[in-house]
Amino acid sequence: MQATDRRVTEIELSYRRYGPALLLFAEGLAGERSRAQDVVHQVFLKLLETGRLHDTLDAKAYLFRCVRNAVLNDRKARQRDVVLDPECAWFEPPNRDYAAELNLRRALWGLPEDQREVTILHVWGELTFAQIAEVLGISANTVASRYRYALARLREAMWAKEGCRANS
Amino acid sequence: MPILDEEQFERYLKEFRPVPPGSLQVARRPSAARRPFAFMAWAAACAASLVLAFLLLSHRTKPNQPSSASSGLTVVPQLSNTQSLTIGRANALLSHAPSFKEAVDQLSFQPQAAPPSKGKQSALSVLSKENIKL
Repeated sequence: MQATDRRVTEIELSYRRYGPALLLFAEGLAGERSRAQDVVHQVFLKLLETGRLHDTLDAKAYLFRCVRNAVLNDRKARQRDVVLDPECAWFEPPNRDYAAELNLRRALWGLPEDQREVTILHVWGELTFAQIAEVLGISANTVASRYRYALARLREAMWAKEGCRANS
Repeated sequence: MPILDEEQFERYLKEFRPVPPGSLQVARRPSAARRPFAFMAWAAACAASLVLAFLLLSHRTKPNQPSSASSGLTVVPQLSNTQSLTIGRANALLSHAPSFKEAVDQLSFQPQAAPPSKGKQSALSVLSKENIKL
């Protein structure tokens, strides 16, 4: 197998493995499915052109950083506020509980962006605090404290909603 | 949703699986530098072997055609000792010989070199006449 083919295969594998978490991360920053998907595709198409994934030490962290930069650039170019698209599900919920999915999505969206990023990267991206620190360019301690705050707020928001649903 | 601690809540969150993105259309580019050359090399090799086979076959079938000599004897041009073996001569031999084997024989068993002309001696005869005293 040639080196180019091997690189393409490696990038395809990364897309299959990290694609869902990358898309969620992009959605968490962009709010819209279509924009998030465009960004993820752009990142991978660029990688296919340059083949740079091969050279990186931590491919997973590198991919998340690429997606983050691409979303932020896209947002800067559009110069408009990000709004949550309520129609597009971000998750496949357990037991097809779509109400819980919407609840989680809204709770996530209600978090400050820096906390939302950390939560998505740690829970669904399965990145360590050190990796997240590398992606965001902050210290691992800051990541850990943001995560703790985020989790507490998320739980609170979801419980409040669940409580409302139970009472109604 | 009775969630007790951070770990359990994390596990609960992980039950929600992120939706996978649409398929990425990856067009595998053929390695433009190598494949056309490989194909051309194969094509050239095939063409060369076909031409060679055709030439050999045509040489083998020619002797079956009636020769110009009315007696039925074929005139095979022989290589003289002064003539060097060239492709042209080999072709001529092949085309006139009654069979391929005979043509090869003609090529192999050429007449020995003629004796040296008058006044000249071969090195071997000079050495044999010499008395070497040890």
